[in-house]
Amino acid sequence: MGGNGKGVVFLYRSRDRTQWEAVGPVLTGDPIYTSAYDVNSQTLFVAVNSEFYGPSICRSQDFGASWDTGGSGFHYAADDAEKVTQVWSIRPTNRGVVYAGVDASGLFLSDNGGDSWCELSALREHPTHDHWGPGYGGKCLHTIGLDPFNDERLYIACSVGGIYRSVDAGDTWDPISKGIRAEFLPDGQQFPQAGQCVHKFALSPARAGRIWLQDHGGVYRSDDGGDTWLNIGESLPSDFGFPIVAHPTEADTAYVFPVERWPRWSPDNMLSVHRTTDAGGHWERLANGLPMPTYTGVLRDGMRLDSESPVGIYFGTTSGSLYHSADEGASWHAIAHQLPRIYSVEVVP
Amino acid sequence: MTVHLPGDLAHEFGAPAHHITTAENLNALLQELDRQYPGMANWIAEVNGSVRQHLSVFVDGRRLEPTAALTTSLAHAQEVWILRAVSGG
Repeated sequence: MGGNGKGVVFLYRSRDRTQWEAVGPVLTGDPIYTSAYDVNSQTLFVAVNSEFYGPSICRSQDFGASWDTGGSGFHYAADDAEKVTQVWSIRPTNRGVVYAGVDASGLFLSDNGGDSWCELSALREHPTHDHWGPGYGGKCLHTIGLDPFNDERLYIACSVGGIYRSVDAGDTWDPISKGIRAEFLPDGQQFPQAGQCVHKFALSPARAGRIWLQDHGGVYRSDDGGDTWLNIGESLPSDFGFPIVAHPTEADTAYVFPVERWPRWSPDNMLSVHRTTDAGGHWERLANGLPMPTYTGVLRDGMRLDSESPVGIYFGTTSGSLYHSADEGASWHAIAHQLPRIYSVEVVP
Repeated sequence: MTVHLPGDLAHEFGAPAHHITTAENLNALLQELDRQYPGMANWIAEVNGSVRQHLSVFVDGRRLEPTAALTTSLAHAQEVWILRAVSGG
């Protein structure tokens, strides 16, 4: 499934990951920044950020044939200095709770499947909130991670702001960006407590405490739940990028999509995913079947894995092409071209 | 008075495009719409009371100022149009 900037969700269905059937487009009209699928309730959640009517999360339980209006909506208090303008992240849990991250950076929770939302206000009340600000895409909470080994552990990342961890399901928060370099700050100030521009992180489903992180310059790994970070991106053609995804069963394997700092295209115009299988010691270019030259990139929610064996990889580009690999990146095939700019890709098992 | 809703908004909430009301002001109108179509008020106005930036409200042919308060009277109005503003896309 691909959501994009022209307010369209394109759905593609396959039984064998070889032949793809287009379903839709559906839900036309407003920018779709991100999406998520809840296996338990078989619900597809889509962030609809309307220029006219504001942000909402619409839901479908029939693979996009019908959608609801998205419940009560998102807002801060009337006298709050900030307001909610967009939804950037959605994370359903296996306990019936759904989390959502918004611009201006904040975290919401629904305990009724998205009918109504309330803010987990402790995050914005953190003393480091004054260090948060807008990046190129806005001031957004774009990533929510649920620790697969500990239900009380919750992670978020916002740009600009950094990565934060809660060990009590959101009641209190700590910045855990120590050691992540903020290259856009002057020398001597590049390792602040907060204010980093984390682009994406992924918790390893295969090893407790392991986090992969793509920063605004730098790819990092933590093996202690974010207490310390190791820079593992120096051998990539560019350590700048947006998505990072973790292999579902192999703890040392992760995928990134490097782009130049500006313009945000693949280095040397060679469209490619990069993979490490040794926890970041080495990176391997995966481009068999991808076209070149290209003038395109992939946004932070534009790459996903499935949980099949071998693992499938899917990514959508800023120039509207959707690619997949059914063999862990050994070969690539196009699912679609000529779509609008792709903001997000989601896999529905 | 007759209130004309944007077509996509009405469709989203399963509402008719025209709504007959005696609401005395904009806020009362939104509350009335929200009772019939839960969530609709939040789609039209911000929580701080302002109409969303890229919507226009016309009362008997005159566009309300973007900063118009929700207490704006509709006591003698015949026609209210809520429209998607050109600034929104």
